[in-house]
Amino acid sequence: MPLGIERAAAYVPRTSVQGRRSAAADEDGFTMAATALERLGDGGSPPGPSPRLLVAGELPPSADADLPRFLGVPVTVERVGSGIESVRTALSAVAVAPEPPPPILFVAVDRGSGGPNDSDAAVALRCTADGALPVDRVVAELEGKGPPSAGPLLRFGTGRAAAEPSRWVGDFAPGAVHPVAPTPRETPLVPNAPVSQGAYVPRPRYLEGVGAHWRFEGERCDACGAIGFPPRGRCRSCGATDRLRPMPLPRDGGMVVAATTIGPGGQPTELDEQVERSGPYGVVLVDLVPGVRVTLPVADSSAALAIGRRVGTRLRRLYPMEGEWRYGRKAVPLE
Amino acid sequence: MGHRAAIVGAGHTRFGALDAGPRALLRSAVDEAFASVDRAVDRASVREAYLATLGFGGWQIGNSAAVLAEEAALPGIPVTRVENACASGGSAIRAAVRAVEGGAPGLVLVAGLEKMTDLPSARRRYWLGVSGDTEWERSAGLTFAGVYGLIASRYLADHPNGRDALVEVAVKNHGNGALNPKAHFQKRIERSDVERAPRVADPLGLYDCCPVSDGAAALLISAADHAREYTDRPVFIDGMGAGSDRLAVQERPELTQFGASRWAADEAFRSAGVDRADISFLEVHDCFTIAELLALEDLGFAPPGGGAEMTLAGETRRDGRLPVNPDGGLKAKGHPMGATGISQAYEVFLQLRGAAGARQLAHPHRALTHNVGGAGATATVTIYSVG
Repeated sequence: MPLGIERAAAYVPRTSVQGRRSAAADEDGFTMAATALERLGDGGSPPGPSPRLLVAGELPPSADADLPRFLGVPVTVERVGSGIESVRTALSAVAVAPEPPPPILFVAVDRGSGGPNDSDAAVALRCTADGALPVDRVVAELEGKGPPSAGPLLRFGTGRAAAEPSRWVGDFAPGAVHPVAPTPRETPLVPNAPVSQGAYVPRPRYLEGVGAHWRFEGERCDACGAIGFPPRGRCRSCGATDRLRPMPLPRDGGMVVAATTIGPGGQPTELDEQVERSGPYGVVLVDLVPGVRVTLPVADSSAALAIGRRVGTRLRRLYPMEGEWRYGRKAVPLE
Repeated sequence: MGHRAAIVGAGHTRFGALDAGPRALLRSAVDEAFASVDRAVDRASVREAYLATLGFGGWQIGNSAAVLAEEAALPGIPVTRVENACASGGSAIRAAVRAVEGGAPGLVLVAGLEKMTDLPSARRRYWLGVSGDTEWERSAGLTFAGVYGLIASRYLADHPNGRDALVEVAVKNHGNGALNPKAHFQKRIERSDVERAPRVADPLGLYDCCPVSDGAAALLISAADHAREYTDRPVFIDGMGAGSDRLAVQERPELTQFGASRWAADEAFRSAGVDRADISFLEVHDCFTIAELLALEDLGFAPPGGGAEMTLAGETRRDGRLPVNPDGGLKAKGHPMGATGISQAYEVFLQLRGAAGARQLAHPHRALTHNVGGAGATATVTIYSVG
């Protein structure tokens, strides 16, 4: 039974460097893939048991473990390489999946070649038996395209999928160019200064908090109706512990209720390097829904966000800790 | 309601960037406290000691209260370190009062200490930040300046005259500090100094923030009934309150009110059996200028937004209706975290006994101290009178 593309989504960074859409310093292949998957809808969380997640392109090795954490459901990650050939092979394999075909997620990240008109981009596809756009047509379309993985797929998507019953969304908005100083293509993962333990959260506790930090997963109390965030396993309102269930909170559309800009000297030590490189940064308090508030850094290269503004949120890199990047959501202007 | 305990002696080091280490600071404050007792006092009459400190000097974290016993020459006495971040001092006073409340004879020593300038900048900023919420606030890039910056942004959005009031708090407290020979900053500043200072956490600038200071302070506390064995002029503790709130500001319904301060104040006034109108002056926790405005409102001296109005009307100046922080406050006197709550009581001890020198207020008879941990996760309020 052939699979079709049910939904497609792209993520192209807003930052423009000499006409090329370039990821910001706090983005990497993982955050770009996560953002594209998120845009498939419902946070990209696929229903059903153990769906496959095919991964192509330039994602850090840690993404193999972090992508299932981000989706919040058990998925089997399969790396299918980075070249267009491997993408085509992978999609061909999808097209002839055995019956009954489970849903398959596909995500590709292209960090571009650095040349003009070769932007950083991420593409996510959700393939099911009900998908309206046959995968083999996509494969045929990709024949003879150049080497980068997501680029041709993205161009295919923008030119083609818009006319199909699939959704295509992205940050790419022609004319909306935000010129900034060129950022390093990759920020090196440097160990913290030996004394920097400012936001030290031990790794097991960091991983425990991924649902709240990466997906804004709160808890709703069926006893009294209160929403708790972050979830603590006890209703803040009535104290119940046995009638709580996970409740996803909206990742976009929250309102800024307080805003500050941290100048040099006001930052915790783990952000010293970032401040040295990028200067002051914003932090906002955002009401996701009435009564549920979260503290968020403003994403790199975003303009200051004032009280009263509606904002979106994105997964971004925060700072290095224990030899790895720590990730969390940051606020971005809502389009 | 009567007196619950009495302060019979108090000592205080200079606050500032000091050469002296934690041991020397403790010894100096404790020796001065003993010397301040009017009648001869035998150190053997001290039954117990409490040390308020967050990090000692960022290194002797565990068992640091034993060092207090060593430096106070009180070998063998029971000691306890009390830690509620910047409210450690107020919390230690509360513990000491409870230790003598039943009328037990003898004295309890309470000392507060922080030695902050020994540390390299990065390590110091670590210590300044460990008392906030780590998983959400620190991870978002906030130190306490940032948390109070967020709170200030909301206050200014709700009360447009707040910006002028923040400047006024800084100018007033620096003016008071200029009269305090133990203050970290003893220099008057102009409004333009505050307004032109670099922004640390907008809308807060450098002059909206208290300094990083070294220092120690100590009190000798007796049961109220035994106070006159030590002095004819005891300063009585009549009411105490304490409270706590959710650690992360994002989990509190109100951004510009500290529930912990409100509950502590209500309990303190109830237990002292006095009204707001009975208070001669306040020592409030102005770690940032915005915190002084919040304090006036949380303590019940002004409605929401009224803290700014009171300040702009000059009511909180030394010659105003309700002087606030006559010693310069945390803003100018300095803020060695564990010592701050003790230092506030030291100022009350001087003022109520008419011994505050150039900054002496006119005939104060009852005072209130307000000590906050972090951005309001803990707070204590204490009410004093003079016999």
